Amino acid sequence: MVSKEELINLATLAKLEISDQDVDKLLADMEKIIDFANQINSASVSEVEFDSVNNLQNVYREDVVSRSYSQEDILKNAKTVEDGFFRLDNRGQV
Amino acid sequence: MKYEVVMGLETHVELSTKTKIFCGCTTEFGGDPNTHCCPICIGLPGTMPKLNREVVKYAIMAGLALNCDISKISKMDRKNYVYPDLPKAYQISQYDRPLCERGHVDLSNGRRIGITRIHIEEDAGKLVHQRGKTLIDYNRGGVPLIEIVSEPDFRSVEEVVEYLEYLQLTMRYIGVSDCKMQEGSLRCDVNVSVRPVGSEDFGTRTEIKNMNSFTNISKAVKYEVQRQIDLIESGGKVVQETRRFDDSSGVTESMRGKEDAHDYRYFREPDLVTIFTDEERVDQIKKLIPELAHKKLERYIKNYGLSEIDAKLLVKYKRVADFFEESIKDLKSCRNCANLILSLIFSKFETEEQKEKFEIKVSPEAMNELLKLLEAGKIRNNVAKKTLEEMLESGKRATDFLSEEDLKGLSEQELKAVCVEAVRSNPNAARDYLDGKQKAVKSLIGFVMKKTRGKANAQLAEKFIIDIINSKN
Repeated sequence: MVSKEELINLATLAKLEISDQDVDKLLADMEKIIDFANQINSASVSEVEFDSVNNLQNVYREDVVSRSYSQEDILKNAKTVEDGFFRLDNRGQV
Repeated sequence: MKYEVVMGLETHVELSTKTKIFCGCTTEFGGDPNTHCCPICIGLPGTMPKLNREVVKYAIMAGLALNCDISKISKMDRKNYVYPDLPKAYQISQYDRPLCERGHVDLSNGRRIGITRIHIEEDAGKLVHQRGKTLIDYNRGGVPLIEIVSEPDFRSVEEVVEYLEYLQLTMRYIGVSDCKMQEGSLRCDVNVSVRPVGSEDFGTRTEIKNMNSFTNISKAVKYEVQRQIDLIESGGKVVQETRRFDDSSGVTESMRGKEDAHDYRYFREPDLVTIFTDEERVDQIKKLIPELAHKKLERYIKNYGLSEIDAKLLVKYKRVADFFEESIKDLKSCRNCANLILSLIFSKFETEEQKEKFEIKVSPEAMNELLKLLEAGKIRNNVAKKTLEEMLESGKRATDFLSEEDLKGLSEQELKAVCVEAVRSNPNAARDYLDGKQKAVKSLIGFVMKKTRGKANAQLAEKFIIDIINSKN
């Protein structure tokens, strides 16, 4: 069970504003999501020493410099730009 | 009431790999804003992190140098928080399976500081506040960090500073970080609490952030300790909170309280696989670790007979220590070498950074050649100094400056002859000496030194001169 307080706390942490009307609907959605995710608990893991992604381990990239993007390209999606920087808007958004 | 201070440290060290932790962008400090970036390190959707092999190696090296156990199985986790310096809204870090655990650092007062863990993570971008606006540069975003977490084992500011200096020196020795506080490649947060002496329980702690020099750490901790004591003495209570040190006013101020404490909702990073390190790998990495500064210090004092002060100055900079050791090969004593480095060569540098880099025109081989001439008595100390000055200036070798004549040395016979000449050509000085003016001999020695171009042994010359004067009467 997800409590109303937990839901509101999560929204706060994610910087989301939710209205009172939305709370009940979101609670129901959240319940379904958790039920879905909980299926993983029924998987048998007794023979697995430590879970890993597709039984892969030690997949690395070598420490070799590759070209970075141009400043112009990096800032292309920014809402506000100033002197080559991203600028935060009044709501603290990039 | 008497109080005891209890502190623990979280130290962030930026690793000096060439590239960032999850992409190939350069880790170079500075640069125009947002020019060391790519879709991975600015957190664009659909990008995948690719772990840098060297980051894991460097972190294990740091762990071994700090006496840690290396975890056989380790993994990356997502630490969720929303803040503009972190474009993905989570930092890829390590939660319950850090790479290294259970290490320690021994302090000079005999106390041992426990190291809880060392984990790897990505650095955040940099926020620049100016003219009421907030600007963001993501060049630093994704630069690899290790976080070294200590046990709450510190009991004084001095211990904190010694520990940090030790970390700095050790990281530099093993070559995993330059640990420049002013550039932020060594940063630390200090957890501070006080308790009545004799008490076993910990007091409520505060965490001080934002300290970028040893002086600031010292000031911040002293201020915070006094603030907590004053608070308790006046009947108040310390609140658990995060505080920021403001170096212009010298005080710590509240940033956020316990109620605003982060709820990071860690979970495993699904885009990165398990880091598996077996004993064989640990042994391979162990071999990469050079002799550490504290071991070198012991050896310099014990085997070379250097004073603690001199030995400390030599080991403080890895390049200096390397130069010193190469320069003293096949010499009977390393005293001359230590003296020349610490007095003459060091006087050429103005900053710590210059000493750290130790860029000089003299190779260890050339230094060794000069020292051998000095040790064999072919040149005297003052000539060696003058020659080294010239070598530092021009990059030439000692033999380029010293003539055959210079290197021939001076036999006792020859020296005696010069002394006779000195007495004969300065009858006044000889008379003054006989009249009881001991100092008069000095001018005669000066004559001998000049005549022999500094090759003469001054003590021996003095003895001869006195004998000659006395024998004449």
